[in-house]
Amino acid sequence: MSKEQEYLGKCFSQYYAKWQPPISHVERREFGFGNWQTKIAFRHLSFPNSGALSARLMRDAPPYVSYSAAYYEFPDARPMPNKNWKGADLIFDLDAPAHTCGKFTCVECMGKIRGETIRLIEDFLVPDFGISKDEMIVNFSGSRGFHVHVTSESVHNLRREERREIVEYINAASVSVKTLLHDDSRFIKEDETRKKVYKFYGPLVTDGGWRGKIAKRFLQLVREKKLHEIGIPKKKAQELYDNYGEVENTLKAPVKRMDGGVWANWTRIGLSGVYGKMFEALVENTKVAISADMDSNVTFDTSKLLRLPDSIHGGSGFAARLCNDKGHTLFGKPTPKIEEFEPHVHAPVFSDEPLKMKIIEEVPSVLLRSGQMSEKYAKDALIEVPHYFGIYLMCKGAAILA
Amino acid sequence: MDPFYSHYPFLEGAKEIVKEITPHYTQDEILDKAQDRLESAVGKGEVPTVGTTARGIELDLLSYAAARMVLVAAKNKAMCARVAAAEGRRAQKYLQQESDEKLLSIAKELELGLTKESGGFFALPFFDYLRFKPREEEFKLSAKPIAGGVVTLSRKEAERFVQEAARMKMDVLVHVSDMKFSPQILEIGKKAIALLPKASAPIENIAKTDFPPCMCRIIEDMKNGEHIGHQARWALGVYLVRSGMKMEEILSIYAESPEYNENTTKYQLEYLKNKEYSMPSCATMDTYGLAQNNCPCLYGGARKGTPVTNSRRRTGITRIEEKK
Repeated sequence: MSKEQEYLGKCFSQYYAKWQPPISHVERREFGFGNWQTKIAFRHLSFPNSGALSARLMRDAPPYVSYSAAYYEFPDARPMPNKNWKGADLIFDLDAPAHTCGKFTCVECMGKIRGETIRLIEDFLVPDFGISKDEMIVNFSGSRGFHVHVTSESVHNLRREERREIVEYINAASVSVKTLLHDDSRFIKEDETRKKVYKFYGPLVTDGGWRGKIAKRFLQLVREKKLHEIGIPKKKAQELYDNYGEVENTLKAPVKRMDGGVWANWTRIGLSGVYGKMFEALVENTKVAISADMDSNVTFDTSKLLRLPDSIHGGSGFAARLCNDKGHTLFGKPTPKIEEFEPHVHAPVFSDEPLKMKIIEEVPSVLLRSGQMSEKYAKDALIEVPHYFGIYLMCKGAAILA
Repeated sequence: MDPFYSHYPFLEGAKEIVKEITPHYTQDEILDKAQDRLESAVGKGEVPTVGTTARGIELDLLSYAAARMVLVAAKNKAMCARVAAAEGRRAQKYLQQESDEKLLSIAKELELGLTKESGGFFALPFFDYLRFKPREEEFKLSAKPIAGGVVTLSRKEAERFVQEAARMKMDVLVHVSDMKFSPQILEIGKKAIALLPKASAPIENIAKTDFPPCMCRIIEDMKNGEHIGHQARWALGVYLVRSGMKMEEILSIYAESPEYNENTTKYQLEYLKNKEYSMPSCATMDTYGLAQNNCPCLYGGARKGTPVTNSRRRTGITRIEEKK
């Protein structure tokens, strides 16, 4: 073990000395610890209570701590079937996409993923699924993303297939034009000539779920004069912009279709033959604007281990802090709301004491806890930085103790 | 006699009536009807509807109960699944004619939290929707109006959910270990099993000799009409492709599944072949809950290798040649 790893171990151990895990049912979860080489080096660990877990973390100070979203009768039993699975929280894992910022994830990338996480909660979990914010915990992953855990009992027994359905709903994989637009057009004979009568039923703006999202998106495109995004010709688009009120009324007026369902009569928008194409473009356009992208494996793999909230992430030295306001505190400090959560400001947990370091890899300017940006550091520079920032640089492998 | 329970013989109330009327009929009368019912369900996928005479209604109810007994004795999951689907479809024919109130009370007994909304609509809690969701594409959650954890359904859709809940209730084989069944009952079971639709290739031989237990289990589940999850389906695909089997042979294995669709399966197999996915390790299979306890990959408590490498290690297998 290097001098730095030993030093970090000591710091982590001190952190865990006064620490309590913010999760329920410790005794029914499986835990996994990592080392400096791999994030989960040992799994199938179990602890009778929170105290035993904290004591072990203080003793071993592992750089990574993971726990199971699943509840087991015998969490330490192996192989897996012997654990006797009793249910699992519903997990969403959102990670910032790969970007040029590399290992020093930039503020922009974090902002983007924070936005997606908020959208997952505000556009899907709460309004569509009716899951209350009291039933979920949200935490920073410690590195490049956020985890949302729905912990209410109603989700515990969801099977993999049901979790998959949820994922495909949120990432829009299951959204298809076929089920959202009904083409009831038909030919009729009039004065000896065949004539096509168009009849299109589509979603109402008042509908819940993807139906409503799509209808609302269309209305938004009309309002913002952006119909070119879904391939509607200029002249027709202008007509719709001029008659916004009428479009809105049409998409708000429920009409009963033969199958007993209630829809909006999209024929009245007056796009005749181009509905199919336009709708496909509209669905794609809405997906990009609304769906949340996440690592779906984490959601339907009900035996996956994930970062323990409020534990230290050895790749950054940050705490995987909770970030929703359910009255949680970390060492007396209130939990920031996700809307305000900025990893570089809220996740460092060590002191501001000065620490002397030597840079071994070029470091770009990064956000500091104070809200200011750090300097750029060149290789071999000798610097004095706050303790928490030194730990960050060591975890990133960019500096050593001087 | 009110035919209600003969329309929905899976409801609890039917049991009482069966007890009451059994003594009025001979065993042969009941078993004959049960055999007809089963053979029609297994062979044609449908169960005839009830006649109107009191005797017809009573025998119909008794034939359902006796057919259940045959299913328990025969212990064949595929047959049970097929019968449950056929019985569900029959129930649906009657559901169409029921009042909203009756529909709701049947739903309630099947643990389906269906309620009535204004305008002739019904509401189903989101989690019930997921649990009882029929497989058709129109029931994808994204196609339905959902708000605040409640999905709005038309009357027809509500009926479909009740049908599905009934099917799921009937698609359960009760395990009885110490019960002796009469030879007559066992014989009826055997005859009905013979009517199950057959797959084209005899895969049992390959499966039992060459494949590791985890893969055998997936194939077995698929054959039995059980719904196998995405990971299982995928792992099996990677295994079969990596084993160097021919596409037709692989397809014949998937053809055992009741959800089999040749084009989709072919496309997916080609996809994972082109992507050159590597076989998940046995330890990963374990975390998916797919690994089996009787597997030789368990060396001293820890799983080593992958299903492909472990198959290669075992003797007498010429088929398995890992591509990479």
